[in-house]
Amino acid sequence: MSEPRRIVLVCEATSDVRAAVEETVMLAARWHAALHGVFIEDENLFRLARLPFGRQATLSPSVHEPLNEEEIASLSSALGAAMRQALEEMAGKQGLEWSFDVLRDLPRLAALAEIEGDILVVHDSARPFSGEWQPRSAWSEMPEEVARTILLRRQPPRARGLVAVVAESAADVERLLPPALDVAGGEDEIAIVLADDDADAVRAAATSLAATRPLRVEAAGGDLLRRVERLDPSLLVVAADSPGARDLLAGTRCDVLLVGAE
Amino acid sequence: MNDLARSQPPAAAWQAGEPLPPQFLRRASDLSSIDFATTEELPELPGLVGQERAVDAVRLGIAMRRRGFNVFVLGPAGAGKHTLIEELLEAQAAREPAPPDWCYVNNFSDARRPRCLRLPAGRAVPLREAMKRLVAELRIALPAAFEREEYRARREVIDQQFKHRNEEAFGALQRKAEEKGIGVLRTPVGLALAPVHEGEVIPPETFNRLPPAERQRITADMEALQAELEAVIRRIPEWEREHREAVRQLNRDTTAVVVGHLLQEVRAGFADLPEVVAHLEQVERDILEHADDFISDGRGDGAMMPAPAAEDGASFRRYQVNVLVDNTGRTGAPIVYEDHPTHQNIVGRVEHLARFGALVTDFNLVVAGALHKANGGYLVLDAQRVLTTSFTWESLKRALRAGEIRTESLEQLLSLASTVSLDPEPIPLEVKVVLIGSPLIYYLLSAYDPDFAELFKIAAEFDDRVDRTADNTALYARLIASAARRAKLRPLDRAAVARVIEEAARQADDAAKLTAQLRSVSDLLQEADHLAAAGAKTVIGAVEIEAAVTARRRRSDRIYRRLQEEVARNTLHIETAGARVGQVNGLSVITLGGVSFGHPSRITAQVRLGKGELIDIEREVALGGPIHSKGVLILAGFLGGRFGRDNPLSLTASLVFEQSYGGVEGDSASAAELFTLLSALSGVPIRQSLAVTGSVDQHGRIQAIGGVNEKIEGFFDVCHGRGLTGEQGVLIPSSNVQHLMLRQDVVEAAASGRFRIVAIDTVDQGMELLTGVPAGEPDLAGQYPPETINRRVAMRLAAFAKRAAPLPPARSARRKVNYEEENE
Repeated sequence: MSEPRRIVLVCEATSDVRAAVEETVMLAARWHAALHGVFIEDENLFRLARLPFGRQATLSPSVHEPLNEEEIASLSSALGAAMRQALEEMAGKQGLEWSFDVLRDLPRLAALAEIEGDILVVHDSARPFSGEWQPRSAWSEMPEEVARTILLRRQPPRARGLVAVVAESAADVERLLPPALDVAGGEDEIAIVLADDDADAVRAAATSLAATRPLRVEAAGGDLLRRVERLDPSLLVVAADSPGARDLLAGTRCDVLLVGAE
Repeated sequence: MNDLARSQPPAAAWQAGEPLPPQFLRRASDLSSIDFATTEELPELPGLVGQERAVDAVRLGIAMRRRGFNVFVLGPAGAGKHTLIEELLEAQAAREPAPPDWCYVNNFSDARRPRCLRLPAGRAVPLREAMKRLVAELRIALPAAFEREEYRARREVIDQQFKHRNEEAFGALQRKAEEKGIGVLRTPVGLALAPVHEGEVIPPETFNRLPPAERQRITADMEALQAELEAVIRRIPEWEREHREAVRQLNRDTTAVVVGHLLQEVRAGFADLPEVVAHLEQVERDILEHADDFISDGRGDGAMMPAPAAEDGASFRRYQVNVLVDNTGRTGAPIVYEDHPTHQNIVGRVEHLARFGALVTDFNLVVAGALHKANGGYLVLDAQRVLTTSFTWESLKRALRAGEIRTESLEQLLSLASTVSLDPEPIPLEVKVVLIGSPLIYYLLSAYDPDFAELFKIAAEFDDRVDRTADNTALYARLIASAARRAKLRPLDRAAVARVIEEAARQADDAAKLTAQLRSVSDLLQEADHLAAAGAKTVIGAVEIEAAVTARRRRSDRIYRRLQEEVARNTLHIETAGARVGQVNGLSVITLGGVSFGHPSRITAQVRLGKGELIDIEREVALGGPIHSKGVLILAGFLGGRFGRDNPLSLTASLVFEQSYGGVEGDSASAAELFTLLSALSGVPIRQSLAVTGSVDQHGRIQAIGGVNEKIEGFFDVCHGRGLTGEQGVLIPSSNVQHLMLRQDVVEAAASGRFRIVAIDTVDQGMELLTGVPAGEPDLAGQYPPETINRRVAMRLAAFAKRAAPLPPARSARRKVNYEEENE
């Protein structure tokens, strides 16, 4: 991946906007890339509000509240404004060029295809509702075609963790490891999960790219998803066009760096 | 012979009306009963001389351990009260057991009201240290316990159970919904259900186009699932509570193992103290409840608890022990001297710390006052300081009355502040308070404070003078020796001791007494020692004492010298030769800044026909005090008694202190005023070489006055300045002879006949000495002999009466007309 010049941050109504902006600003500052914020007004919610039985359940004493379009619009507008303000503050502090847009659409990666940017950072780390359970997210659906690199943030930021890179060959390592190192923290351990191919060649390629990092190479042993689950990585790095990418995206809850074809 | 002569040396005798022999003018010290060369040989004298009554009272007061038997020690300043009290208290306190230690600890049920703990002497500090160690160990041991794999595993199980329950409930609902084509969505503030198709919510237009039956099915499913979702959500708070409780119980169990073990060691050290054991149980319960504080570095919430130091987590402060009174190593009862008896210094205070603009406090900031420190022993206070410091007296009384120390601020006491502050549990008080003050304060408190008599039942009154007996003289010599030793001064030889004792008598203003104001004696010794050092002497001699006395007098006699100078320059008109009608030299004492000196005053009288008025000019212009006025009225009584029994006193007489521009008080000039009045009436001149002091009664008896030595010396100095003639002298009351401790130069002048001091008993004696004319005794008919003072006075008064009366006075049984005939 060549050095990115424009990073796009995508948040929606359930995102922890300030945390998302803060983290992405730090990422953009590494490359001094321009930062473009996009707030998605969830079309699903507007549709629901217009349905006759549209209502939401909350933890407030009344438990259920009627859901209407105006309220959704008002909340979305407020959260969008909050994102814009956070961008202005934090990007301004770092001296980054920034811009902002509000987009009303369905919250899925396919909807972002037209947005310009080298890396797409999507924050799907909704504020907790109860415990860690989250409803199934549409952001985890793999689009038909992924040209760019997409970072899908689904967990609150962790100081340190394991970076799992799913590779089939030394070539995959050479393609996936540099963006993984760019996105991951400096001290994170790297585990190369070898889906299929020669372990020695993969190790050699990985060592040459990340000589100073703790590094291990593990064989997937057939069931790639289970292997990854057992590793419990904080960041999963996978080629968007690899055969297991769709299942990994849908079957895991960790952050995922989908490296596009470009 | 006067009675006093019996207390004088055997060879002495004196006659009223005659010049006093020199041995009566100054009583020398007789040290024959004690054998010593210097004070180094004299044994130490514990206590004071001649203060047995006060000592007994103090002993009784400090021995009585009953409420209200506090002691008020009254007496003049510098009488050695503090020293004596210190000695007596130290002796008594040494026989008594050390009182207990006192601590404040946190009240776990109400942090506003810290609890007090009473521990045997020396046990509080070990408790404090044990609690400090406990907290320090807990801060290491507890996090370690929570880091152990065993704890983590159990915690993981609990968290997983909670997570699983959530996921199971929501997951099942989500799956069930999906089976019916309904999806679960996150809204900005909650969850929602919506009919979905290929991951998208069905647009309303699409929904409306569905067949009615399908719409009804979806609506019904939605309703049913909504109800299920709400049911699940309703249970969330309960699950979370259960989760928290499970975690708390796990923490409690984990903590209990560590705390139980560590506290056991503390308990073992204080198993004999039920109060401490009870407190430790509360500590244990609290630690179990707040185990999280130890894991999160003690920054938990604690009511009223500040975070005064980074190393002490705020929460941990509540396990500390605030040792208020530590009696470790004490062998007897405490004696506390509080020099600055403010309210706070007496009852203690609650300090505050500024934290982020707010003042915070806790039981650790309760500071002991003097009452805490003296509890179980003695508290010595200066009465004047107690009374002149705002609210101290009231606070002290309140504590003594209640028998407990309540530490509260003045704001609380006066209800001036309504902010929440500490209200520490009162500490039982058993203290003996010794107030030291002047007699005036004692009498004022007795008169105006009803509580005073209840709380200070023992009064120990120190005398300002002691009898100058042989025994006391010997003891005084030892006292001087002790004072010199205590102050690390050179020893005094016999002559010096004798001279100091004479000065002590002079300070008592009485040859038969010695001053009890030891500070003055001690100061004299220090000055003499300084002079001895300057003279490279190893022993203080009489010369140094005399020099010190003279130097001390000189330092403070500026005004005296100025007055003497003005007399010498005749600015102040004092005659010391010749004779004058209606004029006499009276003597007064002026006291300035604690220094007294005598000074002659010219007293004159004028008489004229009148209505029996005796005008005291001083009083008329409000310069005369009441006692002086009383003295003048006594003169009228005397005249009326002696000369006006049958005739009205038809005169107007005026009396005045010439060139006196300040107030006149006292009756010591009443004899002089009478003499000048009699001179004015009789027309017989008074010798101006003599001065007079003494008061007079209505029968003409001369009575004792104060300051006789200073008065004599004042007139002597005037005469000495003009040259002593042998005619000059002072008439004093016979009853004042016993007080004479005159300067050596005055004594020497008297011994050589150049100056005379004559004691008189009656007015008649005085008039004869002053005029050289017999006073005259009345015969059986009440008639005075011719050519006598009294005859002349009687004739003059009779003449006034005759001129004043429009008709001849009624005949009396007694003959009185003789004077009228004589006048005619």
